[in-house]
Amino acid sequence: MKFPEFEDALWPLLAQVSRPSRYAGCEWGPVKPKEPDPSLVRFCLAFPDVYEIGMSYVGFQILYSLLKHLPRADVERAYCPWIDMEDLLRKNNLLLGSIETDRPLSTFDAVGFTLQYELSFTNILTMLDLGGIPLYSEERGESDPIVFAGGPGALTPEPIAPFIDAFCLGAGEITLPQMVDVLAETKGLSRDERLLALSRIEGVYVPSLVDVTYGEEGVSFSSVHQALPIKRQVIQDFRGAFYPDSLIVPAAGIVHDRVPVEIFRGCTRGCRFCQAGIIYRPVRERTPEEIKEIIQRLVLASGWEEVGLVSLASCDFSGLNTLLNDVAPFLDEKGVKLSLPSLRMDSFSVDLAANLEIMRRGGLTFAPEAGTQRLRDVINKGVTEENIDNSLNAAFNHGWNRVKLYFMMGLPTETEEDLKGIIDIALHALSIGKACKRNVNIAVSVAGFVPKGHTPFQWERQNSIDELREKGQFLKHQIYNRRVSLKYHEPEQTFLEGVFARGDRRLAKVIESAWRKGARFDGWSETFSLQRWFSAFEENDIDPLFYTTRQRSHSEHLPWDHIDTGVSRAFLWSEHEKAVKKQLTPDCRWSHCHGCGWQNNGCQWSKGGSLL
Amino acid sequence: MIRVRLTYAKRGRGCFIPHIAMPQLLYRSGRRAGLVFALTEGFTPRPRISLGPELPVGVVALAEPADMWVDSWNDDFLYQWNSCIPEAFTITGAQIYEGPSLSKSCDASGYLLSFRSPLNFDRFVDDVEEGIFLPQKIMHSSRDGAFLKLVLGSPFAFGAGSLVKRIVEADYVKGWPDVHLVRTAVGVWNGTDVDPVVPQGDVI
Repeated sequence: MKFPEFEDALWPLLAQVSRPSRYAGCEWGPVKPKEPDPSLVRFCLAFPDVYEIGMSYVGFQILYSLLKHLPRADVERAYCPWIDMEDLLRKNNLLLGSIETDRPLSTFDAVGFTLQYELSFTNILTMLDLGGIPLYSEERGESDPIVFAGGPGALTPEPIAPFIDAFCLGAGEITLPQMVDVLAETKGLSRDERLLALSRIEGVYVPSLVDVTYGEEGVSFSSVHQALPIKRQVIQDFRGAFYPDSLIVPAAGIVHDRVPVEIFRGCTRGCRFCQAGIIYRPVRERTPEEIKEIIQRLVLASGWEEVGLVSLASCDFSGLNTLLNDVAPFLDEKGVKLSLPSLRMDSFSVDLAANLEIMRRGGLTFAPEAGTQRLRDVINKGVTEENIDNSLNAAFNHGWNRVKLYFMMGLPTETEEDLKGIIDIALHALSIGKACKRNVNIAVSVAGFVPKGHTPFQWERQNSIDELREKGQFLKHQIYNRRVSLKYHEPEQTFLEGVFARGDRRLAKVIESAWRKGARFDGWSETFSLQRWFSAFEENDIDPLFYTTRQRSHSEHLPWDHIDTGVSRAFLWSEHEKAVKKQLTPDCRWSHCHGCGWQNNGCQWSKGGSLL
Repeated sequence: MIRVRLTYAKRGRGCFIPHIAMPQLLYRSGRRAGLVFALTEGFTPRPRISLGPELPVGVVALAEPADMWVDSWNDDFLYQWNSCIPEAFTITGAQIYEGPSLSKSCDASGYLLSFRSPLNFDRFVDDVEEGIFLPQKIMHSSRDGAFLKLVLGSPFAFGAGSLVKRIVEADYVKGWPDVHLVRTAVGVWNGTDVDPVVPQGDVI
């Protein structure tokens, strides 16, 4: 009997790395490559983090399936190898390849990264380098793949712009099929010609065709090739929009191990710190009937025993009760559980969760975000003390005894009173729990606030590392009850996230320097080192505080002004001003249109909430 | 509720999918094939499954035993199950079973072993055959092409992990990457070989 597995070049590496299942593939789903055909445009979707995180990302499930369905395209995936595997690949002179076939990244026609969080930037460099692709766009030759990037980070893309040939702004479902056509039709043309052709697709930003200058007034963009600003692309009507008919099911555990079903896109709750709440507007829903059909199809095709209803705030789905009632008999018959990944802070949501077996297994998580009503009004959280009271009461009455509370520190206008408010809420939660005679635990998690581009707080200063540490310590010292635990995010990582969240193109050199000094997986505390980054900033003569602790003026030209998300700058500024005045802006779905910019561009809610 | 005793193979990179992930992999692929699994009682019901002795990652397997409980079973399910399982895995045999548990049914495990580098392998083979290496655990040994065929007793007490640990301790190799190991079966010693717990089909 023969055992070809022992001839596998990766075998001895897999036999010595941690978690080899990350690299083993062995998935179920449409992962088999198409027959070799030189006319095919071969895409590699690259996730700049480890497999179990990347495989939990619903966007790749959608885009992978979409590309597989296009006759002119084929698609594979790659994930960032953990540092032990990176070392071994280098020592053995092996290139990083796709999970499906080990085909090196450098041999694809296009390699597309998703930009989900800023602290994954150095992993992009690792993947390019290990994949045999020059780091900088300008260094790439005719035979190198087109490196593109999408996801939320593509809307504030400048820090990594020199590494990326083209950014896809907005829905990949719109831009990717057009990219396939352009790449198929321009095979044989020069790289420059192909990039120019790509830049003509609406929503594709080719940074090498856009010049940038820096001055007193901020960052200025100009281009003779691309009309600026470049518009983010949206699926106008989500009803009937593409959704996979089968999913890739991993062989070993991943973070979100379930059928992901995206029920709607966008959120108009209007939290002023939230970038997703701006950059995914307008709210577009699928119909409950369609979602039921998707659930049935994917449960049968995947064998998964859990379905997650994915969106920015699933409890806000207008057809939620109908959907849950309609789909329950099928799920019961198949023994499949349903989960809602994000819970609103009200008793309706808690009652809903109480009826979902899978939600009852763990603790409940709520996000009041700020400790006082004043600050919650500043950030337009839309959560009242009554909401907090009711949802905590409902949670404990339903039998939960573990509640996790998410807050932020360093929010604009924050005072010590607001920080004390966090403790007050935690202790209040404890007393409500005790009143229910339960053995309760309250876990408080506090993140440092990072102002993001395209939000009403994009002009705000970010707290320094010292300020955040002081606040974190202050909060920690207020906790004296063993039933309440409090953790705060590492201020050094928050700081770095802040640099890149509002960074410009000059930071690319810093990213490269830090990467060369060994920066990897900066979002992971076990691999993060701020010292490396400080040394990289110094080496490139860049003051990181310029990007974080500096208050921007209203008139400053920002490094993402060349990108149009669809929400106007005037709306963002008016929200900023309302924040200062502690004025609320209610969700337009249940009040009236606030004129965010989408009102004349296909927002169904601006016309009174009925479907178009 | 019907108990089905089955054997499965882990080939290629499938041998790097950990033992603890196998219940879910078998369960999900079975569900895709239309099987209805019996669930455990309790607050978080899970498919009722009993696996054979632990198999460390990196060990290729040809006939690993498992018991699963299903609502109904016919022989067509085996074919359907295999059409719904990732390519690296195969259900190599299955039948309705009533009798003692796996740990009571299995008294031996068979292995094929070689070293990545031939250095030390001949010495190792000699030591095994001369009873110098692990004589109390090895029930049988013989050359099989480039491999040494080994049969070990007490499969639940002494498995592949313990075997490789002893090989490393005895300084034949430095670690797992130097060993090529295949578990051919966990089952019953018939005097010349290890019989898998169920007859093997022609599905491989």
